[in-house]
Amino acid sequence: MDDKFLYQLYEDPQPEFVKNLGQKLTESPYSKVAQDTKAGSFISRQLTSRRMALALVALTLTFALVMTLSPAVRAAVIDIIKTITIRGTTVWVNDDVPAAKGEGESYSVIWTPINPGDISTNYPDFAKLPTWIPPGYVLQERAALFGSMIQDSPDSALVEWKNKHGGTIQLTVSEGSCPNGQVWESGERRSDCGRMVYLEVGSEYQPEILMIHDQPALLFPDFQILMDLSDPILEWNPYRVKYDNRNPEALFLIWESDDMTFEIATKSPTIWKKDLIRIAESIP
Amino acid sequence: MDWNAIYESQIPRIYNYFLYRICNRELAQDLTAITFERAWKARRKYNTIIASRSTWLLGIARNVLREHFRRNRTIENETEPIQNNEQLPSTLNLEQSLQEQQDKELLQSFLLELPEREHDLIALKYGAGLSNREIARTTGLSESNVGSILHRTVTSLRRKYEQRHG
Repeated sequence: MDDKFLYQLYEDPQPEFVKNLGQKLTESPYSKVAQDTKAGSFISRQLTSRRMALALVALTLTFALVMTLSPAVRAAVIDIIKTITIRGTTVWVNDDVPAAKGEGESYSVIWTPINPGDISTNYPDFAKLPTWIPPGYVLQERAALFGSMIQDSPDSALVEWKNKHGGTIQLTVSEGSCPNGQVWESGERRSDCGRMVYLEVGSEYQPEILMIHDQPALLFPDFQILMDLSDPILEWNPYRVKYDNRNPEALFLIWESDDMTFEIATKSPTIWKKDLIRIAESIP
Repeated sequence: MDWNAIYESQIPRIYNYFLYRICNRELAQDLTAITFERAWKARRKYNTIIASRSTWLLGIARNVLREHFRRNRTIENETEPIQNNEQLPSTLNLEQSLQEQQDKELLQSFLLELPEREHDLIALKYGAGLSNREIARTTGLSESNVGSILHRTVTSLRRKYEQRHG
């Protein structure tokens, strides 16, 4: 493919710009560097916390993480006061995790809308619907399928229930697990581990370890991570989530079973821990 | 993390990604600065996401660009030809320099007419210098899809470029 003509726009950044920006970053790391370098107003709005965004990325890009993280990299995190590892899920507990609430969006994760019935018909591996859901909740017609639709090989599916008071339940079923133990063992990654999830929480919001169908599970209190399925359908649907790591109405549960990973996220003042466990245990 | 090494090695990549996307040198510098400021603030948590430096930084850069586009519905009024302004050309090189400048402007105009996705892939490939596999990781597309979109786009661009270029 003759594409040489496309390289003609490439140029090295001006040395003065590189030098000035580098100095400003290292000398005054929390100043508005971009404003100093003529960025104007573009700098002003950021997410309240990168940490939640990173957690969201970690939740969804798990396969990539399998390929790239190492114990040495993890060890570089210096302010973790506790690490909880259950199968493929690792939780970093940190005294310094600030409140984070808002919406995140990632084009790195693309989803395809699908009807739950079509999941059952065409992708039965992901059709793991619970037989019990709290009264008043209705299965929504729009669900999400993640993965390469071009090759017709999804790796994850999400279904949603809502009630008329705004309560939401989302169940995500994903391929891959760490059936034989935690991801990292004796300094090496287990070869049979197909999925990893990393989360970071404040010390006052540590997860509780439960058992779901005799499998260990992690229940995160006050942790909201709900996908937004309401967008108009486009060719590319970005993965958008509404997150809040201080929401007393939210719960998040994750566990592995039969080489699949299950996640249930809820937001409702009337869904309690016992309800979440009942939903999880009703999944056949 | 050796921040200085990352900064030195990655700033041309990020800057050129923006340059290919918006075809405006000053704005490319501004957005590059925002990207590195965010990366600097998040550098201690760098290890919790995809560990490729370029993927990490380009993820930030693409978010910065999207925010910029949201606030500025159109980029037309900000787009101006990239001038070869490092130094004035000598008389002998004047004709060649003018021709190069016209070629660049022509290419910029074609890039700015591309659909969002095609333009992004071109910027990731020729500005940021990513391989098709890295682009696939960055965008969530499959590698084969990246390859076919790029091939189609480059072929179309070359045809238009050669027609106009004579």
